[in-house]
Amino acid sequence: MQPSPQTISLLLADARLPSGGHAQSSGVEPALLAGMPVADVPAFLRARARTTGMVDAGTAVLARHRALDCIPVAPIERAWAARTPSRAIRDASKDLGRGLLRLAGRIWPEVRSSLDHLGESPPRPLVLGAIAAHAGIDAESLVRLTVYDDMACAVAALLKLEPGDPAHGVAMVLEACSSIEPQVAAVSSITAAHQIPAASAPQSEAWSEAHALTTRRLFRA
Amino acid sequence: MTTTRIAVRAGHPRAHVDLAVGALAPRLVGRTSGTAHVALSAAGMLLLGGDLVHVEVDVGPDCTLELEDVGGMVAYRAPRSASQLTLVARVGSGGTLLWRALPLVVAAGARVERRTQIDLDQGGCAVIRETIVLGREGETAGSLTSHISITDPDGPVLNEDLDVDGSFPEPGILGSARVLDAVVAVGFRPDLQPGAMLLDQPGAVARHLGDLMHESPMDDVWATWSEIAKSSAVPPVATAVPLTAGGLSSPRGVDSVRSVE
Repeated sequence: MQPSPQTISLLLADARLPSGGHAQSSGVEPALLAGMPVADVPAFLRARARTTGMVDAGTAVLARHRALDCIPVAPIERAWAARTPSRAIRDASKDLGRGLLRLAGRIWPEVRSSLDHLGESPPRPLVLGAIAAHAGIDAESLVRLTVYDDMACAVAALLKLEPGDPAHGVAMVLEACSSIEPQVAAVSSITAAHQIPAASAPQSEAWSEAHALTTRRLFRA
Repeated sequence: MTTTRIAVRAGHPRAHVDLAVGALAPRLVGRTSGTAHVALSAAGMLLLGGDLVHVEVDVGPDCTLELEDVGGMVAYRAPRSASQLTLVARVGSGGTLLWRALPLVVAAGARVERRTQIDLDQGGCAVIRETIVLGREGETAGSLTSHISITDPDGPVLNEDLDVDGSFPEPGILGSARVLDAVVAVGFRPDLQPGAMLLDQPGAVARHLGDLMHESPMDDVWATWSEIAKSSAVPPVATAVPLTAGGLSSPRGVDSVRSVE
């Protein structure tokens, strides 16, 4: 019996998944270290969801589309990298991609063939897209999964950095995830690289670059 | 509104420079066999609601074009219609484009859509300065959508869409900063300046986010990166730069097309 795509979505969104998500703060630690007030975190998460979140979700959707059509996924990496000018953010995504791919190699060995020529550390959205293609996850669920996972990482890290009411954190995740609902249909129907959103977050990028150079941090990014 | 066009082709003893006046008026400042220096100023009142400013730049193979703004630009209040600013540049193989734009100020109630597209041919490179100021002193800015798309023959190098609205500052986007001053270098790997981000493809982006223009260190980044781009360009054949015929003369008026051999 195959697990249902819904079960696999739940699995991929689970913080207990052994893929390295616990080491990431989705830009929250860089923001707080740079002096952003904790009260700004909800607005920061909404901004991240509509920028980095949509870039990654669009990339994942295109990776899924190509993997389903047995077209190499590797050329999309360049489109994603052109939309991710910060090396610190690209490196964090590749760390997550490596963890996910290591896991996928055990559970869905065929995912590796979709990611040929991308080495051991493809960016996270490419691996998520290839897994979605092989596990039967639909494009809209993939968009929501990509954003949810990033937001859940952010709030889990926030609770370690600035302990507070965990229920408040859950509310923040839901609010940020629901803020992208109007875009889900358009992003999930992407079939070409030029359609991938390119929304930019200059301040967050600067914070991530500075964070990569500091030794006073708990999270990788 | 007609297109402002600047095209440079290598020639002997001097480069061929074609200039067409549109909303902006290009003036030739100097040239050699493979380089041209052109200044851009407004040909009329800019930037009002509904204005369409379109600038086309064509840098020939192995040529260097230095393009600089004479004055910055203020986008004025225009509640009914947005103004559009489109800059399209092609850089031929081995060519170099140095575009030093002065600040674009987005005044209260202005709506601006800016699009910058640069296509580099093999071995082409570019350094551009882009500065946005959200509102004049003490003013809450209007809104700006800025798209940047840079490609080389193998694909995209940089794609960025920045959406900002002075009334709704977002943490992580520009936060409370009023000034976004950026230098973008593509087609080569420049020395990494403090605060600069190395792109995946050859190139880098340096930015300053702050409240005051004069606090920005981007003048130094611009000077360093444009010098590297110039020094890696094909050395020009030295010729005297004529400052009279076709030199600093003014355009005859909007819509006139001036061609300088």
